[in-house]
Amino acid sequence: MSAVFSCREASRLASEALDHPLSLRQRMTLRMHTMMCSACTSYAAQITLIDTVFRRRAQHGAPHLPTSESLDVAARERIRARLKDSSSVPPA
Amino acid sequence: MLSVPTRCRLVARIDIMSGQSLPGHAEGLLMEPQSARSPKPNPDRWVDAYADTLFRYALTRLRRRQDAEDAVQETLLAALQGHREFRGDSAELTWLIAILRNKVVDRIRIASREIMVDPSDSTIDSMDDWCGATDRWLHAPKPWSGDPSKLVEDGEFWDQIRKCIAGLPERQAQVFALRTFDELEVEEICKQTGLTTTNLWVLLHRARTRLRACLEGSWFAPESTP
Repeated sequence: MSAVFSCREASRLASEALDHPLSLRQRMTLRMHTMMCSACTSYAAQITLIDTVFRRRAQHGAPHLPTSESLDVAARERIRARLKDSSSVPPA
Repeated sequence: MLSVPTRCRLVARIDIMSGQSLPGHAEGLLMEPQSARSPKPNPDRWVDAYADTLFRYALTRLRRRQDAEDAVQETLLAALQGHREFRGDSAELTWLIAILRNKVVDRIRIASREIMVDPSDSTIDSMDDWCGATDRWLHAPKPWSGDPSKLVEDGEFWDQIRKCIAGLPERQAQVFALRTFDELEVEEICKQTGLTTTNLWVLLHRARTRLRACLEGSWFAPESTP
């Protein structure tokens, strides 16, 4: 089976399944492959898990990776100054 | 993610039900001091209140500090110019993030013109994933155990994800963020970035494959084989 339908191809379909509904034929092909291939079964489950974790985080109102990074003082002041320049000029 | 805050809905409903103009009558409910309809934008306050959130949003997608800083500046300048268009029907931060998202996508689109993706070019693939021409896994994925609802709360897990994303090629990381964080549909990403659907699928497949491999190596301890 895997000679006809490679793991590479199966992983591609498993990924596309997260982006658009697969055709009946694609679904059947993927299922036949994963029935015989535990690696691709794991792959499909894992990319789905990653996708789910990201979406949950986004839905909890944090549309960015958790990070302690922040604008440094110089950048903040630069932006502030630029905004001040701009707000003193009436919009065109 | 971009839902209208309850407060705004509440005010709007009261307005309709009472049939009265809001000022005075519903003053107690309009608690937000920086009223959305404030005639004068206050860019200094935007910087204080929102700059870090906007910066993190941009940094997640653009990854380079300089690019993220520039995108934040462009966003606040555009907000200043377009402030009269802000109708107050969404929270101010939501409005700013919507502008920023356009700025980020603009940058990705410009960069997309410079780097074309050839889906048949297998040399871009991580050599670790595939065993040459056989198209079989070189390191076959092993089963994981993980509860999404627990992982999403786990700071160390996200630290690891951040490291893994930092290792992705730029374009893969960008489209992955648009797809998963912004929850944009494939059609929308293609329209905005100028990528073809096939190219986008290829990029997403590669991003997921690399991210998966990275997490397996660093977080999900592979099940030991006797």
